[in-house]
Amino acid sequence: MSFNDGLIRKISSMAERLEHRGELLHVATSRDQFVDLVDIIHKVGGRLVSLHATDERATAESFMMYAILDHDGCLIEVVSPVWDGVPFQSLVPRVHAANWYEREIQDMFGLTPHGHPDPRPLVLYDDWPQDTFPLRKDFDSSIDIPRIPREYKYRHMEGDGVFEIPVGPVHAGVIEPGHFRFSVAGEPIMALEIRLGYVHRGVEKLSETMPYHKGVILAERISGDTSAAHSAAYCQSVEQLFEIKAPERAEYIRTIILELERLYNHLGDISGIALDTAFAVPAADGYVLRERVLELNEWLTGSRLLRSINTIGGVNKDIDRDKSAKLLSHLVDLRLQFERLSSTMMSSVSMLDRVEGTGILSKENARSLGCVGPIARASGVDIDTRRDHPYAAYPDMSFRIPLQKSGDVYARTVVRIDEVRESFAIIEQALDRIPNGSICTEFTGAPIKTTALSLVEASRGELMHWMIGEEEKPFRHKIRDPSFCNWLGLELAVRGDIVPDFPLVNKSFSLSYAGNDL
Amino acid sequence: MILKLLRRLLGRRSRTIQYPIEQPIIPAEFMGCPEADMNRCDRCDQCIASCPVSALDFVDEGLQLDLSLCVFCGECARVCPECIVMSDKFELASKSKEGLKVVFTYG
Amino acid sequence: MDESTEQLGKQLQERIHQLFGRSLGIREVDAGSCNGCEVEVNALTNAIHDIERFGMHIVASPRHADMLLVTGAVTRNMEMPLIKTYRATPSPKMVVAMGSCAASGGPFLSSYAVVGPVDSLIPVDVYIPGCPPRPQAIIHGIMVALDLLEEANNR
Ligand code: SF4
Ligand code: SF4
Ligand code: SF4
Repeated sequence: MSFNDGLIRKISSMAERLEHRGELLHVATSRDQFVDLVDIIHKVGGRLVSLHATDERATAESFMMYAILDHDGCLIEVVSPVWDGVPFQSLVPRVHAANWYEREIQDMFGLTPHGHPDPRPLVLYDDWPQDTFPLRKDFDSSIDIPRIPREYKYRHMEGDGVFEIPVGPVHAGVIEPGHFRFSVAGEPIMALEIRLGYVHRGVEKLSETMPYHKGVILAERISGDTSAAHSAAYCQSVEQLFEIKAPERAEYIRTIILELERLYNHLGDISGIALDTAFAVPAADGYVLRERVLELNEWLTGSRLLRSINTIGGVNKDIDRDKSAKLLSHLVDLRLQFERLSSTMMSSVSMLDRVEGTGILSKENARSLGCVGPIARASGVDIDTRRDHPYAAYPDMSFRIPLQKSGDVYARTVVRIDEVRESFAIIEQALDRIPNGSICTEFTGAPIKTTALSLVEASRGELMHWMIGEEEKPFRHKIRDPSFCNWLGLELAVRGDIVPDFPLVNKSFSLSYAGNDL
Repeated sequence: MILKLLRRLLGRRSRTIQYPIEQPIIPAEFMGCPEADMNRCDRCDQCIASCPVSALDFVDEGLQLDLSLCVFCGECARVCPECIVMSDKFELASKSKEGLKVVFTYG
Repeated sequence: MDESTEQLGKQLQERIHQLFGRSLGIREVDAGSCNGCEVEVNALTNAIHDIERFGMHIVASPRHADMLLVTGAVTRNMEMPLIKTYRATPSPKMVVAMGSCAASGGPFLSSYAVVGPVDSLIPVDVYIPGCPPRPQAIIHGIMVALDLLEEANNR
C-alpha cells in the first residue's frame, strides 16, 4: 500500500526529518509538533500501535518518545525528544488509546504527562519510591528498593444505592492476579475499575541485560500461553536489526506453530465460555480437544507450550515428511471433533440466551481504545496483522478474516470458532507447500543503527516488539502485548450487565495479565 | 438432544491417563531433565555459557545442574550434542533444594 | 491393570483419606508467573488428567485449602497477597513451589520487581522443577509432598 500524498505533504510540513525505511515511515519532529502530528494521523484513521519512551541521554542528551501508528496498512513512527523535569503534553485528550501508555512512561521513566485525565501509577505500586524509575539507564537493579507508602485513589461513583464490590488480587479460579472494583446499583454494574500490575516482573529491563540468544527464552516467558508469538516477534526484530533473514522453510514452520498456538488458546477460550454458561459437556469436550493440541505440540516440538522452537535466524526443530503426514491426519480428526463441538454449542438455546447481547463493546469504543485481535473483530473492526503486515509464510497463505458486528460474547465466540477453522486450513496449506531447505541461518554481523519493529498476530491480537540494538543485547526493548490494548475495552463492555455475567464477559475477552504487566 | 448426548457419553471409553499407576507415553522430542555424559566432556564451558539461567556449573566432582533454575530450554544440549541430551525424565520433585542439584560425574 | 499398580492406586487413595479425610483441597496462588504454569494447572482438571479421581480439588479459597500450589517468582506486588494467603490457610498446611520461577526465581531472579523465590518468604515443602512442569510432574510433586512417591533422585 502506498501513502496518501496529501497526508505525506502534511506530515512533512511538520517534520524535521522524514525517512522511508522499508515498510516503515520514520518521522522525526519537535516536541511542540509531536501531539499535533500524531493527532493528524489519528484523525484520518491512523491507529495507535504503541507509545513508548527511551532513555537516550547518553547519546542524544534527552529522552525520546516514539509513537507507532498504523494507517491503512502503512506504519508510521513519530519520534520527538522529551526532557527530564519538563512535563510533556499528553496525547490522551485527543487520542484515548494513549491512556495506559503515558501512565506506563510516567512509572518507568519519570516523565510526566501534562493534561492526562488519570495520571495514577499503572504498574509500580503505591509503595514504590517516587524518585526511582527502572527503565532509566542510570537505574541500579542491584540495590534494594525501599517500600514507601503512598495511596492509590480509586474512582468513586456517587449515587443512591451504589455499592462497591472489590475483588482480588487473588481470585477464586486458577487465573492470574488482578484487582477489579465494581460499582453496582442492585444487580447491574454501573462501572468497573481494573487495576493490574501485580505480575509486573520487569521484563523490559531484564531484556536489556540478556544477550540476544538468551533473550528469546525470556520472550517466551512474557506471557506463557503466547510463547510462540512473543518469541517469533522477538526473533523477527533481532533479525531486522542484524539484517538477516530466516530461510523460507523456517518461515513455514513458524507459521505452523503460530497457528497451533492460536488453536489451543481459542479452544480453551471457547470451552471456557461454555463452562461459564454452565454448559458442562461441551466444555469438558473442548478442554479435551485443547489438551489434544497441547499433546500434539509436545509430540511435534518437545514443548507443550511451543517453547524453544523459534530462534534467531530460524527455528530449532524441523517438521519432516513423516511428522507432517501424521500431523495432517491428527488435524483431520481434531477438525471433525471440533465441528461437532461447535454445532452442539451454537445450537443450544440456553447457551445462546446467555451470550447474546451480553458484554457489548461497540465498534466506536473498540476503535477509540485501539482494541486488537478477536475482540476488535467481534466488534466489526477489520484488522489482522497476518493480512495487514504479513510476516513468516502468511503472504503465501489464503485465509479469511472472520468479522462480526454485534460486539457481544456471542460475537467473540463466533469469531473464535471461525478462526479455529481458518487455523486448521492455514496449517494444512503450510504443510502442503512447505519448501525444502535449511531451517536456520547463521546469526552474525552488527546491528543497524535504526529501530526495529516487528508485529505478529498472536491469538489475542496484534503483538509488537520494538527494539534499538547494541552489539550484544538490546539497548531498549519495548514489548506491547495485545492484552494491553484490550483491558480498557473490558471496563466498557461490562457496563449495564449484571454482576453474575462478569466472569463470562471476562472469559470472552480472555486477557493476559502477565503480558499486560510485563 | 439430551438423549443423543447421553448416548455419546455412554459409548465412550475413559480417556484419562491413569498416572502414576500407568506411565504416560513420552514423545521422543520431549525435553525433560538434561543429562550429561562426562566421559566425552573436554570442559570447554560452552554449555555453561549458553544457559540462560546459569543452571550449570563445574564443581569438583563434575558438572552440576541446578534443577531449581533450569527452564528445560534445551540450549545446552544444542551447543553440546556430544555430551548432553534432554532425557525423558520428568519426575523431578524434591523436598529440599539440595535434592534438586544433580552432579554428572567423570568416569 | 496388574496387581501392583492396583495396589499403588489403593495406597494413594488411602493415604489421602488418612491425611485429609477423603479429599485434598489445593489452592493455586499465582505470585507472578508468566501464566505458563497456570496452563498446566488448568490442564490437571481436564478429563485427560482429571486429578479429582484422587479426591484432589482445586478450591476457591485458602480457607478451604490443605495445600498451596504457588507459581511465579513472587513479584514485589504479590509479596503481601502471598503472605496473607499463607496465613489464611488453616494448619496443617503444605506449600508446593511449582515451576522454576517459584523454586528459584528462574529467568526473573535478578529483576528489580521480584522479591522471591517463594521459600525466601514462606516455608516450602516440595519443589517441582519444570518450566512449566508437565501435568504428570505436578501430580508427582503433590504425591511427593504427601509422602506417597519417592523423590526422583533416590530412585
Ligand atoms: S558438557 Fe559439552 S559444552 Fe559442557 S563443558 Fe563439557 S564438552 Fe563443553
Ligand atoms: S536446559 Fe536450558 S536452562 Fe536447563 S541447563 Fe540446559 S541450557 Fe540451562
Ligand atoms: S516456571 Fe516457567 S512456565 Fe512457570 S511461571 Fe515461571 S516461566 Fe512461566
